[in-house]
Formats: sequence, structure tokens, C-alpha cells
Amino acid sequence: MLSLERWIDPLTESNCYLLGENGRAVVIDPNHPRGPLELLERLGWKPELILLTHEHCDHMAGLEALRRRWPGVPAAATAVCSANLQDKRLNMTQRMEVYLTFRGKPGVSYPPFVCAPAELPYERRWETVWQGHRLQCEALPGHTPGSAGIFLDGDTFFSGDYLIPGEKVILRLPGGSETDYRARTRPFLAQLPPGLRICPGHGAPYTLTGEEWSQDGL
Amino acid sequence: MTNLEKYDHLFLTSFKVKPEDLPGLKYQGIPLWDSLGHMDLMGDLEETFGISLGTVDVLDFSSYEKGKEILAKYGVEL
Repeated sequence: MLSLERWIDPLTESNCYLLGENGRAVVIDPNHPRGPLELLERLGWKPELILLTHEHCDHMAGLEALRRRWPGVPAAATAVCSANLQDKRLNMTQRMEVYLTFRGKPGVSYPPFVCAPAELPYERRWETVWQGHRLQCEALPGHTPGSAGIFLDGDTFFSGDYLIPGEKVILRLPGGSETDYRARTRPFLAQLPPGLRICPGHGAPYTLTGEEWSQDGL
Repeated sequence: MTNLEKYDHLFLTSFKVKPEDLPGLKYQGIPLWDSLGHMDLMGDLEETFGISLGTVDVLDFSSYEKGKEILAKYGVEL
């Protein structure tokens, strides 16, 4: 039976999700070098796939640690996300200390870093079957050019930095685009069916009512 | 375009203000110069002038005039 675990980074308050079954795991947004890794070890789960919702460091800061601990585990991400993982400006590490200060956490040391590209880059859509579960990734640019949403078995949606409870979507960070969001992502989010379980990149999972997309502030 | 013209242009385009609004313009003095607008401006300044601003200077960049002082530290004369 599939288990879903959530690990919250205390600094950035981002979520990492672990899907586990039969001692194997899929990691969505490894947000910290130690937290998700230690949780995987405690649960006795071996990761077989890493999925990224976007290139920002609060969603991928643990990517290289997982690669070192479990060599060969592939990461899937949009091709743009894959490229931007390697860019300190676009992955936000160059400005993370400033961002954290603005978020009420001054004085934090956050040295800039980059990650190696994704092993499984895709352009618009990518899907796979893992342990009998269907995982579908859909490119959703706007928050970042490399953003994506991830469906699990058609009843759960990992939304990254979209559909965050009580928060307007942020489109003005480096690489963000209101034009892309309006043209592609907003219509996509608007047609998501009520009842879908949303696992956002920040905040607690919830069930979609169908109104959340209209609270994006646009 | 002179450095000052480039500097002004970034403010005019980022914050949708007029040239006469620039003197005295302060961080959070207008809606578009909020924390997100500030980080965007810093990135554009770095790209335009080929510099890398430190965290302290980004946080100290509190006004149109203060920005000129900070850029001077990086060898950008306006």
C-alpha cells in the first residue's frame, strides 16, 4: 500500500513529499540536504526516482545529497528546470539570504550553490508508472520558467508553488512570467476537478474545492 | 547610453515611474518597489553593470540615491 510522507524544511517552510511502497520511494522536491535523506533512512525506503516541481533551491537543496547517498537515482524535471538548477540566480540561491530576510528570517547564512542537470529532462509532459502507480508531470511555467505539476494516479496533484493555501501566486521572482502563467498555467489549474487532493510546495495538503485558482491575485 | 541613463532606465521600466519621480524614490515607497520588485531590480542592476551585489548592499539599497552610493562601491560611476 502506498504511503505518503511530508517533510517540512523549518527554514524555508517548503514541503518534500515521499511516496513509499515495498521499501522503495519516489521523492518529490528534496528540499534539504539532510531532512528527506534521514527520513528515507529511518523509514527504510530506497529512492528510485526524484521529481522536481521547479528549480528554486527550497525545493531542490537536497538533490545532490540524495544523488551521493544513492548513486544512479534519476531526477526528472522540465528541461528548463534542469538548466536553471545550474544557475545561481535562477535557482534563487544567490538571493536566498535577502529573500529570507524579507520573510522575517534575517542573518541566515545561505551560500549559493548549483545542482547537476536532471537525468530525465522533459519539455511539456512526462509520465511513468512506478510500483503500479501512474505519475504524470506537466510543465506549468509562470512561477518559474521550469515549473511543473505532478499527478499521482489521477487523484493527487503536487502543485509546487501554485495553489498554496492562502497565498497569491508569485510571478515576479527571477525568470517568473505572468504572461506564461496566464496563457498556460492558470487555465490548466482552473480546470482541475474539485475533490482532487492538492499537495502544495508550502502548507498542508487539502482537497480542491474548485475556487482556489481564482485566489491567485490576478 | 551613459551609466546614469542605464540606472534610471531600470527604475523607469521596473517600477513604471516617470523621470521626475526618481529623486527621493524609496524602497516600499510605491507598490511595485516591494520585496519582489527589489530583488528583480537588483538582478537587473547586476546584469546591466556586470557586478555581483552582496547581501548587505542589497538590503542597504533603500532609495534611488542610496543605490548610487552602493554602485560606486562596485566601481560603477553614475
